[in-house]
Amino acid sequence: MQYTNIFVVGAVAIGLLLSSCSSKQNHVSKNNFIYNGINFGTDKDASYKQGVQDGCYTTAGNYTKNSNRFNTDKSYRLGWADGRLQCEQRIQK
Amino acid sequence: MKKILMTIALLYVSGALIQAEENRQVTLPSFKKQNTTIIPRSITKFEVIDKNGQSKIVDLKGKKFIVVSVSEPGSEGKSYAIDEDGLIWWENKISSGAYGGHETPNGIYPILLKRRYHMSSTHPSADGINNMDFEMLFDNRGYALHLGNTNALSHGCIHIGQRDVATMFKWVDKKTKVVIMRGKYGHFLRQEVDAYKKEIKAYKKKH
Repeated sequence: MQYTNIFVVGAVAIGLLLSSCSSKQNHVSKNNFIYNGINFGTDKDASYKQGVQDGCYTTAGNYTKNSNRFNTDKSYRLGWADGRLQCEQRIQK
Repeated sequence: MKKILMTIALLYVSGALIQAEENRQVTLPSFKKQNTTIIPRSITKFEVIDKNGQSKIVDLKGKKFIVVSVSEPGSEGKSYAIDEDGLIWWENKISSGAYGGHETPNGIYPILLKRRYHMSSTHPSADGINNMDFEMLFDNRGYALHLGNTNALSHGCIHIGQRDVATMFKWVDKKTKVVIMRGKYGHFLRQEVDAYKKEIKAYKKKH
């Protein structure tokens, strides 16, 4: 009986620990844009996504950038910069 | 008592030796002074001062170029690739010409030719293995960017490591300029990155 109690208390404690860990993780909804294993945030438009892909591809050593869009489309430009910075950090890790 | 005196004497002698080592003059190898001085004023603008003190500003805005801050004291031993939008998009380690007459001369040069495979005619390797692969020649005296050991100073060329040289070789064309300079350039990259980080943060708050 005593062993059963210890087991139950232990299981509850482990359960609480696990649930507290999982509650600290960032919530990833289906609207999140995840590229190359990196979460770039929610509700990103197509230009931003394309920018991230091109910036990330550039970081891998393949320069890819639509200069016209970079100069006229803020979403693409910041997506490109975000992709380059975050993918570079991933390479450095 | 004898032991104590011996210990004091030993400490005194070792102290004197350490002091002598600290006072020893270290002679650093000296690199040749350049006839032309190049000072970066912004990402794309360079002040070029000739040997007579005449100064002019060269603006490479709208052009593709590579800035090489040579591997000498006071410089960085790095190169930076800048695209037509004035964006520093690549940074890598390099090594440049050694002291004693091999220093890579300051200047703003055009890319003259690209060769994927090449052996130096003036300094061929003893083992017969190409020593100038991924050659990007920028001066007819033989100065080029090419694959090489970035931990060893060169005969005047710019050595770039394997991964970086392949990236540069793909991107460079005959319209690309090469800026060889003494001094620092990396602060422009840090400013660029900081500005983008701020802008991205503000954008993500709104979206």
